[in-house]
Amino acid sequence: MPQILNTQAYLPWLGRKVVKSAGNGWVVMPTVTTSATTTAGNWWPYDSTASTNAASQMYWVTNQQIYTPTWSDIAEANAYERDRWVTGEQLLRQYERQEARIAAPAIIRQRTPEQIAQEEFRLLQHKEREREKLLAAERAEAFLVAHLTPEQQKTFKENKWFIVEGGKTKTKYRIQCHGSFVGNVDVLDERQNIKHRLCAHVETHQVPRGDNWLAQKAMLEWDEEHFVKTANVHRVA
Amino acid sequence: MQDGAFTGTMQVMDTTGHTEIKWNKDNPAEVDTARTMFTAMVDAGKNIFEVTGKDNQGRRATEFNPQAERYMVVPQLRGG
Repeated sequence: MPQILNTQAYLPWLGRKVVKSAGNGWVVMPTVTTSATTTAGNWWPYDSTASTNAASQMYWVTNQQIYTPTWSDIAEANAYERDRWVTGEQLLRQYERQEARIAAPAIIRQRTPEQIAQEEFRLLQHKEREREKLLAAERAEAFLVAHLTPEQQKTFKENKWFIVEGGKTKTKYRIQCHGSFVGNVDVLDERQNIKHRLCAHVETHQVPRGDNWLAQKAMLEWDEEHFVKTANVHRVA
Repeated sequence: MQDGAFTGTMQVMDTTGHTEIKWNKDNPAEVDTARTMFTAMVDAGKNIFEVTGKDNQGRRATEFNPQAERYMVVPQLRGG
């Protein structure tokens, strides 16, 4: 445990003990060469009552050396480093906290059998939900295919799209089924080039995507006006 | 429902893919139940189409017809 004494101190960041010399200086033990330069470092007043005029009570510490400050150094330090001064007591507390963190044993949390069982149950529930989603997707796709003509089934299977005719205007629409149902309705001209795209769909959480594609087909064929009025138009470059 | 009964079907798109609601056209209780559900779905803004024929022709329906063979219930679409 480091202690700050009147004539000596332990500087943990330096890993050295310092002792007050006979004069105004401090000596690092084992002794190191001191320098009169004023390289910027951290000012550490020796005790809480350190006076800015008492040069002998101040030490200027860098990673390698300790300097005894001169009057001008102290004034300069006062101006620029005042907020970095730490009292000896604060220094000690910092060191104690650091040591405590190092010494604290790592806490290895052991799960109780109940916690393990709960975790396994949650995992099972998750797997069940995923399985249900997969079944719903397959069911929806089968429902869609059952409502496609043979030609539509062929293009759906081979190319993941199919063409429907608008119930009112007889416009051709190509419903892309590559995965998304957003912006997936191509409005085609007589040569089956894309004039623009329409985007209208059921909210994603309500139905699987197969149902979404079927909903788009049903609306286009059975209530085209409503679909076109609802959809946003996306221009194609 | 009895086997061989003349039934109608409502196919409702939902999170499971779709759910089928069947009613015996000669059973007033089942007809009433189906009608209640139909009306509730219309009020909720769903699109309901009566589907007929082998080529699946559809026509928007706003009133329940117990003699209908099949209804397809499509949720509301939103522009995206």
